Order: sequence, then structure tokens, then C-alpha cells
Amino acid sequence: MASHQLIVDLFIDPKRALTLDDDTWVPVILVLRHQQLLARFSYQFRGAGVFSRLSSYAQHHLRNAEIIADKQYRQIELEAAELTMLLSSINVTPVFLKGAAYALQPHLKPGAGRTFSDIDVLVPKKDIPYIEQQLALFGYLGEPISDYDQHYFRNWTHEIPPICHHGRGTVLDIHHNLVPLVSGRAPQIAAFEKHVIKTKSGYAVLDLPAITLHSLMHLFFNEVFKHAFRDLTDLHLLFTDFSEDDWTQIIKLSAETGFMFELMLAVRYCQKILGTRIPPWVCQQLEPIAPNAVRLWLLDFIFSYTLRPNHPLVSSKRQKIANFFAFVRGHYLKMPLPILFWHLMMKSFFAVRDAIFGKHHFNPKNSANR
Amino acid sequence: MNIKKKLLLPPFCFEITTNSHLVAENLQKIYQFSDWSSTKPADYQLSLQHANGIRRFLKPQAQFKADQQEPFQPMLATQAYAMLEWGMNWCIASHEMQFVVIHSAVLAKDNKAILFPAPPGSGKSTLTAYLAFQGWRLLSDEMALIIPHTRTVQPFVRPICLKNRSIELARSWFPNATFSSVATHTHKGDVVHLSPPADSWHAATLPAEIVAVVFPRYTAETELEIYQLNQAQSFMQLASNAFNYGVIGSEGFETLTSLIAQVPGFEVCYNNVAEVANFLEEELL
Amino acid sequence: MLKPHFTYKSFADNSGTVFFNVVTGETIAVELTPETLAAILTGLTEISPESDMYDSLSKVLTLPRTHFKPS
Repeated sequence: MASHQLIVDLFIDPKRALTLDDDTWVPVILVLRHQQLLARFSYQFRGAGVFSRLSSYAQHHLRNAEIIADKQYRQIELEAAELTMLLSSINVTPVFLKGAAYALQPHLKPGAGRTFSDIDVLVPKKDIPYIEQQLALFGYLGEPISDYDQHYFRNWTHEIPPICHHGRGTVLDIHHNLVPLVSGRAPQIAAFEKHVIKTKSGYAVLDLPAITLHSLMHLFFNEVFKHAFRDLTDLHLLFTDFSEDDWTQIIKLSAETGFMFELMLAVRYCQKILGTRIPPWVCQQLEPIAPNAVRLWLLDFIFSYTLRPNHPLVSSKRQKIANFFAFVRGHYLKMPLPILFWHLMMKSFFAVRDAIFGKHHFNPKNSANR
Repeated sequence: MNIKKKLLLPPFCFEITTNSHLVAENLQKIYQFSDWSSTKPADYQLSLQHANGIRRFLKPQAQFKADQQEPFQPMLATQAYAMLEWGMNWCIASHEMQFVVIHSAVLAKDNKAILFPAPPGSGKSTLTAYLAFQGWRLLSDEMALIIPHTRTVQPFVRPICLKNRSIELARSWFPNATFSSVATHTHKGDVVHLSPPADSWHAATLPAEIVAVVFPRYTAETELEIYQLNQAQSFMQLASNAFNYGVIGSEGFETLTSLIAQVPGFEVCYNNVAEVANFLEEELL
Repeated sequence: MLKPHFTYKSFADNSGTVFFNVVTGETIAVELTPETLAAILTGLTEISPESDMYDSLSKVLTLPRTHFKPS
């Protein structure tokens, strides 16, 4: 039985993979597949020179995942090119975020083996109606979702509902901010705009400090921790390439946008869980941001569990409790209290309905494998 | 009850968990020749569970999961076994990238294999059932696994999926064969799974070389009409039945173009399976 | 000139040429013999925009714009 610690250890020290027998590989492969980490770990094993010495069982499943990830990686350039071209005719430059942004920058470590179900882009809010129209002309159509979810998306969060290319099935998530406006903590997008750069092929992305800050904002604001461990490994891989200047920039940007607390959390948990090397002067700068001992204890409790690999095979009851706290906290971070209660009430009605009648009975969406 | 069993179906090994009697019985019947005590590590964890609690009485539902993924909407409990079979197909089609996977039946005589790619409605499964019990060995009913850069098919022996009218036909031809229970009212109509003869199961690890590609098309008015396709037509039809050909990049393209360059392709319109069998045996093998 | 990411195979029975985009998996078949394809790629032959093949070919080849007929 694989423990979560084994998965973490395999990431920190890929050579440990040589010690695993097939009985141990079975749950490891399951957890990694569920966490969308098979391809990433496969490349880590290759980088450490151990892949070809692993059992044929392990190699088989790792290689399958590499092939799928490679396909996405190849495809992102084409998707980015088409999107950039389509939007240029209405004078909009989409800024690629998250997984798509990693894949568009081969020199960034998180790109290798990273899969992503949607392509996330940032655009100016005022242009969104025109963008939706323009994309619809070229085959990008909204997915069927319930009225309530439409309302939630448009008015309460920072996203419009995902749109899907009918031919290729590519899903686009269009953002106009990086955090929901309704939370009152949405950053001034202008601060991030200063950090937009162009990749070698001409696509707009955030530079290393900004993409990292966005990534950690996303993780520590998340309400669903399904991919939390993967997101943590993204941060580790990004941090390991930071220059002194990158650290200065990220501290500055996080102060400007009001997300120093999240930066502090990211640094703290990368160090604790993955052993990421952080320059001591950075830790010193972030130290005053840490909360009092009691609150810190609660945060450590929540995050030490929620940031672990998540799968029934490695989850314990304590992890489920921690996930619940994180869920509530995630919601709380995103919305003021009165709105949160209303939202939770609606969502719990749906949850109760779904629990009785089955999730798919009313949901117009097809059971999505994303 | 909740049973968990490991089923070796070369080249894969499945661990199957189910609380459905229907599923357990059908598995035992259909896969009676398979290895149920393999010590190989399981490639995929599949589960077919009846809903628990209040739902069980309001609307009995069965749900398929491949580990934590639920690719399908729940189905009626009576359709549970068919759902597991479809789930197995889904699992292989979405994860296996080191074969070129074609939506196709494959049957062989003397290790010379014919590929029968076919979209639904072509009557392929009736033909497959007929051939399988007439001395051809079944390598696959739905998923042909081609080893890249070769003409070689790796068997993945599974039961033949018969629908609607073909069920009565097959029962009348082979009354002593092993049929699963009927899943009624599925999106494909009535569905039954027919286990191929023992010889097919015993040869489950024996690959075969493709010698022809045949696109069967059941047409009520035509006894037998055969059209040889040119290579471009053959290729396009084959590629449109390939599951992962687009994902695996140039490897899939090169494998299939090579294949088409080496073996003939035919479209066969028929209403008489025996005539088709004759044609295949006399002209193609 | 073959567009980026495209590869092709011309079948020996002269039934045509099939083009494949290795990134998207898009596959296009055109009734073109290997000799005609070679001639087009080297600029010896031109394809008229009116021809049935023009649309398919322009997806996989950058065709010179020669036969521009004002309407």
C-alpha cells in the first residue's frame, strides 16, 4: 500500500523508484494517474536516469501517460496560434495562464509532462462580449450548464462559463481577473499587466515571478484540492528556477496586489513538504506575514493534509476533515459571508438532490472525463 | 456482497470490483477460460456498483468507474454487465497509446488475420459471431491492437457484442454457445455478449499478421457484392475507425499507411454471412 | 511548399496522396499522384483555384497565388 509520503519521496528523489516492486507500483500508478502526475513523474524518472531500469509494468503506464501529455504539449502551440489570431482581429491579446502557459514555454520546468484539461486565458473584462461573439463565429460554443451555474459564473466569480471548440473539443476558460471580484480581494490587474511578456513564438504569458504568484494564488484560493499536490509540485519547479531578482519581483508584486500571505504559505509548504530550497533572506522577509501560533497551527493542519496526493488509497479520515475545512475556507476567501451562506445553501440543495437521485439525473452536462 | 477479482485478459490485467450478482455471474460464465488467479499486477481497476441506499429502490442504477473516473452516466441495474464491457473498452481506448487501436473486429485462420473495421449498424458483429464459430479464431470483437510499425495484431480476446436481431440469429445458429444475460433498453437496443469458442481463448496470447482489411456492410437486398478499394480509399476508411491514431502522432500514420500499402482493402455488401466466409477463405487467405 | 507539421504518403497504386498533421491528427486525402505532387511542390505545375482539389491542397500546402481571376 503506497502512502502519500512515498509519492512525495518519489518526487523529491526519483531514484527511489528503483526500489519499488510491482505490488507497490500498482497503487502508486493509480494515485499518480488520478492526480494527473503520471507524465510529470515519468519525465522526472528519465531526468534522473532511472526510467529504463524500472519494471516493464511501470514503464508501460508511465509511457502511455507521456504520449498523451506530449500530444497536448504539441497541440497547445496550434491552439494558441489560432486563438491569438482570432482575437487579434478585434484587438485583443489573450494572455495564457496556468498549464497552457507552462506548455508554451519549454524552458519552464512545469511544462514537461503537464496535462491540462482547459486552456486558460486572461483578457480585458470590457472585451468579453466581443470575444464570445468572435469565438462563436469560429466554432467555440458555450457548454450546456444549469441556469444557476451560469449566474454563478458570470456575476460571482471571475470567469465566464467555459467554451468549447465543437470540432477539436478544446475547452477555453476565459478570465478577466485572477480571483473573483466579489471577494473584495481581486488584484488590480494593471499590476499584473506590467509582467506580461511574449514567448519566442509571440504568445502573451506572465513572466516567471507573476506566473508563479498566479499559480500560488490559485492554489491557496482553491475550493477543490483535487490537484493540490500537482499544483504544489508546479510551484516547487518554478521556485527552483528563481533568480535573486525573481524573488525580489515576486515579493514586490505580492505586496502590490495584497497576496503576500499566500506567498508566505506557498513558500512555507513547499519547504515543509517538498524540501524546496528558499533563500534565507526571502524567508526573513515573509516571516512577519505569518499569523499567530494558533492560526498557524490550523493552517498547518489544513494544508499538510490537503496538499498531499489525494486518492482514496492514500487519503485518511483526517485528510477528509482537512479537505472540508479547506473547502469552507476556500469559499470564505472568495465571497463575503452573507453571499457565501446563500451560495452554500444553493449548492447544498443541489448536493442533497444529487445524493438522492444521482449526480447525472438533472445535470445537463455529460459526465465529463476532464 | 462485494467481490474483488483479478482477471487476466492478455495483454492487460484488470482488477474488477462489483456488488452486482448479475455482473459476477456473467463474468464467471463469459470468461470461464480466462485466468482468474493471476499474480500479475493489475493494469486497471474497474468497478461496477449498484447504487446504495434509497436510490436502490427508487430507480435501480449501476455505475461504472475506472479507478475514480466515471466516464458514463449511470445505467439501469439490468444493464450492468454490458456497462462493464463498454467500460473496459473505454478504459483501453483512453489510456493505451502504445498500440494503434482500431475500432474493428479481427479474426484469423492459420495466423492470417483480417481486420473488419466497422461503424455501428454494419452488421459486423453478426459476421464476427458466424466466423468465430466456423473455425476462425477471434482476436477481438471491438478493439484491434496493432503493434506500431508492423502488420501484427495483438489479440485482446473478449466476448462478441450482439444487438437486437443478431441476438436471435446467433442463438439459432449456436444454441449451445455461452451467452450473457440480455441487457434490454440500452442506447443500442437489446444487447447480449457472446463468448467465443474455447480455441479463441486458448490462443489469446498468439499474435497474427494482417493479410486484408474488409469493411462489411449488411444490406438486405444484396447477397454478396465485393468492391476492391484503392489504397487511398482504404486508408481513409481505416483511419476514420482508428481510436488513437490522431493522438500518437506520426507513429499511427506510418503504421496505417504501411499496412494499406501491403494489404488489400475491400468493401463487402452482403446479406448472407456464409457467402462472405467463402469469399474470405477462398480469395484472401 | 508543405505547411508546417504536415507529412504525407503517396500510394503506389496512384489512387492518391494522404496528408497528415502530426500535431492535430487532421488527415486529408487528395487524388494526386506522386509525380504530380512533386511537380506542384517544385513549382513546375500550378493548381487552379477552380479545381476541386484546391481547397484541400491549400490546407496542407502553401500554394502560389497565380491564377487570380477578377470576377
